[in-house]
Amino acid sequence: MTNLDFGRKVYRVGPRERPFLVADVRSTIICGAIWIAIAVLAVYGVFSGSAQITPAEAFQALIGRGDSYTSMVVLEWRAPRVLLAVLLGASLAISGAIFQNLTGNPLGSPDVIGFQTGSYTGALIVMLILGGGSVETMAGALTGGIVTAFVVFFLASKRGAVRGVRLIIVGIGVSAMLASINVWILLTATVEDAIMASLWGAGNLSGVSWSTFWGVFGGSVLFLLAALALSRPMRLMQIGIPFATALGQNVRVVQIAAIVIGIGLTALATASVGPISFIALAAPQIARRVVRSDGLALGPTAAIGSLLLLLADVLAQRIYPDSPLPVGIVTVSIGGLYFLWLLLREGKKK
Amino acid sequence: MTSQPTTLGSAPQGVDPSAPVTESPTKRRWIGLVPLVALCVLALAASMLVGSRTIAVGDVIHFLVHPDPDDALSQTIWFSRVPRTVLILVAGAALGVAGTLMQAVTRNPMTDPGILGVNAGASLAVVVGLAFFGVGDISQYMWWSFAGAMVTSVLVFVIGNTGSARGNPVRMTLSGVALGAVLSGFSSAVLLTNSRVLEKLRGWSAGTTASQPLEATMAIVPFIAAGLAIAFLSARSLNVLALGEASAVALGAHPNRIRTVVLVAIALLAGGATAAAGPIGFLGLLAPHLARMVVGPHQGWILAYSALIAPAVMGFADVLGRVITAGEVPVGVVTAFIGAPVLIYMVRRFRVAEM
Amino acid sequence: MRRSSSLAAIVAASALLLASCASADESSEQPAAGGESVTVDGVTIDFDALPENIVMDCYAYSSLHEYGVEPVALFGYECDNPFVMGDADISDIDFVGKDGEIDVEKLAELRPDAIVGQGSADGWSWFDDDVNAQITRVAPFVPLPTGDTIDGRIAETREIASFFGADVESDAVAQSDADLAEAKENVSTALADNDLNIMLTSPTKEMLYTGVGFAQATMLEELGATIVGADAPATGNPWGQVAWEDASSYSADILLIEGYNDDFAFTTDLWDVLPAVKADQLGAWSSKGAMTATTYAAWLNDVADLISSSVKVS
Repeated sequence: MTNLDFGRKVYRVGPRERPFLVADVRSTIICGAIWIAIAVLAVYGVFSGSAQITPAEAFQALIGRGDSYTSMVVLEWRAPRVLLAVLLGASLAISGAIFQNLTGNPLGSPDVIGFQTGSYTGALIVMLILGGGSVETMAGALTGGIVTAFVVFFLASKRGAVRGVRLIIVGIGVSAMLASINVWILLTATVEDAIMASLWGAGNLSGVSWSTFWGVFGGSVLFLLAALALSRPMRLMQIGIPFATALGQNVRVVQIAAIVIGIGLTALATASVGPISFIALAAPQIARRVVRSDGLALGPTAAIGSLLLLLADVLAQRIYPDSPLPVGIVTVSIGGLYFLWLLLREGKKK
Repeated sequence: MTSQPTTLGSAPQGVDPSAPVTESPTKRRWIGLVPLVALCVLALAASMLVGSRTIAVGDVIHFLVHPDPDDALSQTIWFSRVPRTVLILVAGAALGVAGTLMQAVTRNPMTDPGILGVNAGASLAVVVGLAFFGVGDISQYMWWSFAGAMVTSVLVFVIGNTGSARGNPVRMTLSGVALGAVLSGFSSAVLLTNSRVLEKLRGWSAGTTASQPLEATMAIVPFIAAGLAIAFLSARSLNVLALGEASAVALGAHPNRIRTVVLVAIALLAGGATAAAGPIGFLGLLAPHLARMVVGPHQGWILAYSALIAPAVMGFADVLGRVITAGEVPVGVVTAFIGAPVLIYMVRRFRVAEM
Repeated sequence: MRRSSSLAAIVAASALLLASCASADESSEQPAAGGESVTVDGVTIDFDALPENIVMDCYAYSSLHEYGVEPVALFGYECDNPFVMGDADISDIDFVGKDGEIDVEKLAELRPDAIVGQGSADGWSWFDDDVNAQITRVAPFVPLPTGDTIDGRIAETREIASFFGADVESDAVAQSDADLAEAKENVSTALADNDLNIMLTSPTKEMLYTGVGFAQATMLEELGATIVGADAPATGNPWGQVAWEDASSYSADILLIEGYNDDFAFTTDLWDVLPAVKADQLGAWSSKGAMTATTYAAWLNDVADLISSSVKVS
């Protein structure tokens, strides 16, 4: 094995001839910087808030020596919320990266297959028609999303093959139908109930506790690791399916695995905190631009997703003095900025 | 001229073999108009005759001709059925034509003002106007709706037609969907922090024919009429545009000028319809497709057919919504239920290129 | 794969996770013996001591503030609705949340002793279970009574007020009871002379909502009124839905409108031609207003006056 020139600087971990890991310098540095930013933001999120707790008191609480009030606020309210934002931000971003890779389109996202809208429908039926609580709503959201995904896949596959274009159009159609059902269910409820349900539907990190966090931790980490394992095969598929098959890859299996992981990550996020928009869409693209990669960049994608969601949540809690906002409202603004940026970029490309 | 058996085969007796071949499709199109107009009239009649309250046909006709301001049935007819039917005709035609224009100017068969987020943009403008600028009734907020529709149409066009997305209908559709999602998200953001406005707009935002009195609908008619006029006058240019950018220029047309004019028409039509009836999707998608199936790729005819098909569909959808439950299902919900399955059926049956 | 940076993230996360183990060791505090308690709808809520700092939702505020119980902060719906709030000046009261949201840290910072609002002992009606778990950690939640009768609710609300230290034996309160009894008499008398149909409504442009089966409607029925309107659907929304076309098919002589006042500006063709509207036989009601004898005495007196001055038009 000779020294291969990858065209850019890389780190090699392991023996010279056959390294365990070849990591791109630029992307490693950027990842590191982003994680530092996340850590700083996390510290800010844990150490500051509406409750008047000094950093010293907060620190005492973190090491287990705070009084019951400070411990409650810092350890039971702020800490799980910050951690969940980091975890779900990464999950949503990776899920978006998977879908964009699968559909070969930078606007591919889990909602293309109607998943988010379907979850909202399931949750609305539980919240407003059946009158269920938190756990039932989660179950409803999961069921709604998964059933919708299946229906879309089923309708889009003809003689066993699912073509990208057909999938997108069927997804749009099913989403629109479910969206109109959602509007109607909201219309038949009282105003207070409708507002309550809309707050869920906007994506909301309030009320997050350690039980919520641990509930999704196992599944999310599993899926994230699986996504990492899948990154090589997916990158291979980006060259082209015939090439990938020629190189011995089982394309079918990889595709199915990717879909399951993608849906799984989104499902866990949506069921626990509601459909949060635009992280899945924007994070992979931002990551690719920043790292100047032309394919999957899962590490930076996860990092940027976490940063975005954490930033959005920190903002959502503090921006409006009388009342906190649902985090989904801030991520929608991120989506708006992303679009503006996309426009400028495309305009320059002319 | 003497017969030319090589080209026409055995001509039947009495038919002039030198007659132009194009007479047949045009004739078919004209003939096709008749059942279409009948269908449209039927839908509008259904809208007049059917509703939550059962009124006998004879009574409807009687009170239409002799309105009696004190009779409850006459009031129902003049204050509910008539405004709703007029709105169905006006907004339906507007949406159908707007959809046709949109598909023509973007050369993308998978678009309509709803999918590409134009309705969402118009709605957002109305929400903002009501929430922050204290706008009162439709004659004021329809201007907001026009502005919102215009800005969004331009945005969608720019995103979808420049750079890497150029000429790729899928990418443009996805851009439009995402843009629509952003704009609806902004609307939600404003509504969730302004519960007064949310209460006021809850019914409207589902897409309904029940919100506006007759005067309000009449207020948007001039704008819809202008939009329709521009649309029909642009029919020929759109035919040229459909040949492709290069061919159009070679034929002496100015594609960007055509597009600008057409975008103005789309803004007037989609904006006006959304102001009066709220955001209603799928009409602009279905009508041109159904029209194209009958008349072929002639823009003028597609426009005319869409202007009749869309109100017919909307009429039947609204009537269905009135009777299906004890309350009423808004027409926007019903059109989504009709439109989405048809869209899915079409995409399964035909290859995308054929659409 | 960017393992090095992921490693850093895992280390940072572990620190926070270890801290979470520390918090899990906190044992729940046992309630002090000999504490105070209040019972609402048969459910008893215990307190260690009489609550002083109270956070309320605006529905609770409208009832309790009349007894002189003042909150340290407000949250909830309809806080800017003069119909619910009356002419109370709340400009110097803090908010911990608007509509369906709440800032739990701000709430906790106030160290409240009790939280009062519409809901159950588990929490507010419109927060999800997780948020309710958090707010009940801060302070016990006292739900507003949801009994079937207005009188029952007024009585239970008064008990809550007295629990919070209001003087419910005062002359003013006794007078309000007398006023209420008298007002009921007035309504019965008016109805005996003038048997008119009453419909409780909340009109919107798309639909007319009617209140049949609401406690306010039942109260009027007990006094002899005939209430017309559409029944509510089986589940969910307690309001009946009437399409505007059908509005005139309910023969109502008097329309009571939620949120009616002199500035009432709702107009739509099929509303304007209703006989009661044309005859201007309109009055107010509220499904969420203050649950006090004073409020209901005033309301019933207004209704009695309206009945007396109205004629059969339907």
